[in-house]
Amino acid sequence: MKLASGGSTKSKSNLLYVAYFELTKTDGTVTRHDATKFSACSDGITVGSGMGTEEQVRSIDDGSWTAYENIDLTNVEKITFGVNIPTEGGIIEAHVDSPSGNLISTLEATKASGKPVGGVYGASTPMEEKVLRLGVNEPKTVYLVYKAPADDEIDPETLKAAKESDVAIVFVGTDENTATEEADRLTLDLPGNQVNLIKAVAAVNKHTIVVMQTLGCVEVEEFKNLENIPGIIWTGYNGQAQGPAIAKVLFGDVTPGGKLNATWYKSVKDLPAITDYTLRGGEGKNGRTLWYFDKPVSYEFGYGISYTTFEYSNFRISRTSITPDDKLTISVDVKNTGSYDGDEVVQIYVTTPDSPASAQRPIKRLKGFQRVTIPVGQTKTVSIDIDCSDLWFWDMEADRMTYDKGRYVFEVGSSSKDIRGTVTATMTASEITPELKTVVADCGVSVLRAGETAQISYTACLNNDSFINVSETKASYRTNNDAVVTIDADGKLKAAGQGVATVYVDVTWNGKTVTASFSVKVMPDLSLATLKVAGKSYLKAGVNQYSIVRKASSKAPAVTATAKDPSVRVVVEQASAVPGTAVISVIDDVTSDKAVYLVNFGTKAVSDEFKNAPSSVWTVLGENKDGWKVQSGALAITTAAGDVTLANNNATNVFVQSANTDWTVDTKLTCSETPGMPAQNAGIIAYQDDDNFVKLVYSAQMFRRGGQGGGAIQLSSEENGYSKASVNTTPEGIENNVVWLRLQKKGDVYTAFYSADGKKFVEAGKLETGLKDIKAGVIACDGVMPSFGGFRRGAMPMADPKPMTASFDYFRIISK
Amino acid sequence: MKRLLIIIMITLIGPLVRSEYSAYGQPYLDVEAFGEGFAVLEADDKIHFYNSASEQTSTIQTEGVSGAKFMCSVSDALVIAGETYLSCLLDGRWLPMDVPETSRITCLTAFYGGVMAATEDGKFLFWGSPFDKAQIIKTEVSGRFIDMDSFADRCYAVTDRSEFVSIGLNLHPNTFDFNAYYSEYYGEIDIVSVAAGATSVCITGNRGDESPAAFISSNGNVWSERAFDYLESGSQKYMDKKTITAAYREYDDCYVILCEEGVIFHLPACSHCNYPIFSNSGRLTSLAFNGKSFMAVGETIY
Repeated sequence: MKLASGGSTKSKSNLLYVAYFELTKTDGTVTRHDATKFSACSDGITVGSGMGTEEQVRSIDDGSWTAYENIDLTNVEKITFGVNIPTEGGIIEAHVDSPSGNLISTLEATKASGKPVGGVYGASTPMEEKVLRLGVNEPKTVYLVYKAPADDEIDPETLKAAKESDVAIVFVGTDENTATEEADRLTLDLPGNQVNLIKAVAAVNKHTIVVMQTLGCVEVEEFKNLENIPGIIWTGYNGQAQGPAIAKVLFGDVTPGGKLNATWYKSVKDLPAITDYTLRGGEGKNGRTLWYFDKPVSYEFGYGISYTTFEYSNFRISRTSITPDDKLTISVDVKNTGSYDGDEVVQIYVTTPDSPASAQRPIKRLKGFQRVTIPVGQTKTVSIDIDCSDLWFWDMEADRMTYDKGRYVFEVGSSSKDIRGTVTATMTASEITPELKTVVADCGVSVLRAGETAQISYTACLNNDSFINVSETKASYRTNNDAVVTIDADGKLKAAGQGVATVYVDVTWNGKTVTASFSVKVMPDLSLATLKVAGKSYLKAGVNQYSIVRKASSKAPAVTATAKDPSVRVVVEQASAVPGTAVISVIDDVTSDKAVYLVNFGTKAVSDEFKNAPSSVWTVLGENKDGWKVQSGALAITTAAGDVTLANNNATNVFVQSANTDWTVDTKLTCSETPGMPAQNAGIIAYQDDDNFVKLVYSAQMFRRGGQGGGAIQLSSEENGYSKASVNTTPEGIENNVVWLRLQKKGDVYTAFYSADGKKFVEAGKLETGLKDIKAGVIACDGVMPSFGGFRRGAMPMADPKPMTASFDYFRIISK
Repeated sequence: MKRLLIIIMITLIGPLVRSEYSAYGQPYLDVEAFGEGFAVLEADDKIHFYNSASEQTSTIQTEGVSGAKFMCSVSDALVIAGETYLSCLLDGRWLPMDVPETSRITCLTAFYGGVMAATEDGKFLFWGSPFDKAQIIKTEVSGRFIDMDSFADRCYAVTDRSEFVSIGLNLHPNTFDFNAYYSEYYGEIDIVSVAAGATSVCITGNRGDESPAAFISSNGNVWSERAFDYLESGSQKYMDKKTITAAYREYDDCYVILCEEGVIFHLPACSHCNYPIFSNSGRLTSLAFNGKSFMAVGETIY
């Protein structure tokens, strides 16, 4: 046995993607032309950008062309094409006046010539060529004609080997050069020089076998009937054992019995344009497929011969009058009349000769097949069941399946054209007896927490594929795990306990019940069952943060807690003293879900009217003694650079005192001027540390362009250094920068109010955050807010804000 | 003694002689999208401007400072940085920017209309405008920042100990030790670059055997590796050149990686669609995109 090479799979289709061409004149001027804006083109050309954004001329085949009118070729000396090469590439010829007109330039945009290949989603690669100057001085129509590179020559050594052999087996086919992701083939040709190879080998060897492995139908007319080619084997893309499998077929260890699953057309020209997706023919164009193509073919749907032969006889049908509700059986006796054991695929096609012509029914449809192994000389009865409901047509107006009354001729054969016999039944009904077929149900969510509810809904359709109104159905609901979900008779689902449950919806229509199902997950219940402080219960539903007023002590009362869900874990971190905070964590180790409850032990906070020196309860953070004083019955703080926001934990003169309970704080704030840009602010603070706090301040208006506006009321919080929430309000009625502020803490909810007169308070916002070991007090600072976008034309340095004096008339706190 | 003297002189000569070339030994240090074209920073403090057709339109010299190593383009400004200074070209004038005294800048990027720099001692510096005092943001890294990038409201940086840091508009950094989490899965990776994308972030590096590595994540916690394979004429090939730097091309959601020997490797969103460009332009160490155009610089300008 000799092995020889000689074939190539270079594709003649999908050669190039072309985005533009540029013409450069002798004086250096360049004119760019969008290649996709052609005035005419050959059939099949498309324009697209695929996964990129650059529009390109695509679907370029051997012989394709695009035309461009009114192109100025005067003194043009160079042309540059913007090209992408998918695989091998091609040749671009620039002609004038017609595709065969004067040739002015030829670019070889091929891999073989060293041009870059691939990257079809990226920008085009410019490729330039000289232009033959024709001496034209008027606009011309330029034609870009695209050609495939010349086929490889057949290697003479290959032909010599073929000539000297008893049998020549030529392996041909398609590969990723032919078609691949994002690149369909544009012809049905066997790519490259393979047809020439087959013909050349067949010319020198009388026993030439062709083995084709292709992605589908290819054109075979040039060689299928050559006398020296007694056999062709076709296979699709197979797996790793395909080598031994094909060898077994070639050497007769196995008799092939496969049948083609598609029509093999003689030529792609028999089909409408690649961009025409209609199935039916008419108006001068052919239809497609077994259903609608009625011209001669190379191989019909279902074709496939064997090393043996089969004879069909005794065709039977179980019933001759049918309705869509019926099933019937078609039987035939098949005899192996050849010399080898083999398989036959008995096929049943159905035609409906009594269908109205206007319905344009298919020529025939495959409705059953069965492969059977029959030893030499033996006969087997092949019985194929047909469900008459499968014989439907689609009624586009009624939006459901329908059936033509009249004859249904069942053609029994070895292929769609090799029909060995027929049997007939008459359809007496046009509709199938409607029956509930499919139900789909859900409740809109797939994850719930214990106690949450959801409403189940469903859709139902019949066996004729039409939807029915659910009001015509009855539904009942159940679950496989009512410890997880419960469902009432109306389909309202309630999450009961942690876990996963399947919900079933049994829908009945006209006596038939179909069940749909879906799954729901219930996340753990992290709520507390008990919460006791020194043995006394404090638990309140829905409360995450508790406040208890006690006398200061080095020892805090013991906190105990249990969770409602026994599967979760409760961890209590006791407060170390009063004031102090106990932290209760409820943790589900399965989902890592966690809930945190805080018990704040606090002492009664102390109000201060600032008549004299500040009360001894105050701690001054970042104290700069020159920056604050008590004067005229108020605590006056002069702002300085710094703040507690974000990464800037450098505020000075922040007055705080222990306030680890629920409380309401009131103050009257007078600022010496409107808080200055970018972030001057003064007001009340609830403080755990520099990265965990709530601020209610009168501040510079945020993000105003230029100039000073009035101040803003801002309620903000940080949690672990992250800005968690921020509410900005433009207050009304504030005069002379005097504003009353009130911050109310209840559990983990902080509510802000302001007033312009000290009497009528307006809510300015609310937020939730859990703080521990809370202190309350006042803050006044220049602020440091990250400003963005200052690198713009005309940007000027922003003056440092003039220090402002924030005077707090009083700090009144009522602990609860 | 004489021999010793010679050695010392040679040691001293190095830092006293201003090399025309960067630490990579290349004339072109950085490239940024600027206006409709590009700005290229050359090693001798020249900045060349290019238009959208990649034609050079002008060249200027930096003013008042020398030894510029990094550059970033932000809004209407161009900011250049040496190790200890920043200077902003805005409205045709150079504005020196505030840099804390002890800071040595190792990388620079535009961030949400401001400028973010990373320093040798593991801090970030942020300026919202050329007139701002630098905001100092401490991080928890143990390594030296070697690259940074940003997209919209996320900024990322990587260190020479393969730490990955992300930071948002709140200027609060998060640190992720890549090798601590992934060395047993992906092997030890020497991260060299980070590129920020619209919905993801990419880090590139190299393995101990000098093979390239690239990883993509949504938020910087879970990382998936992207292979450097590609198809050529239907055959699977593998690009084996070490990575140098990465950038993001927004218009087609593609990460583009400069590798040794001038390879420009593309990692589009589709993992089947990788492709290289062999630039034959020497070693390229910086690249930038402006819409559909791009420019890469290093030994040459590509």
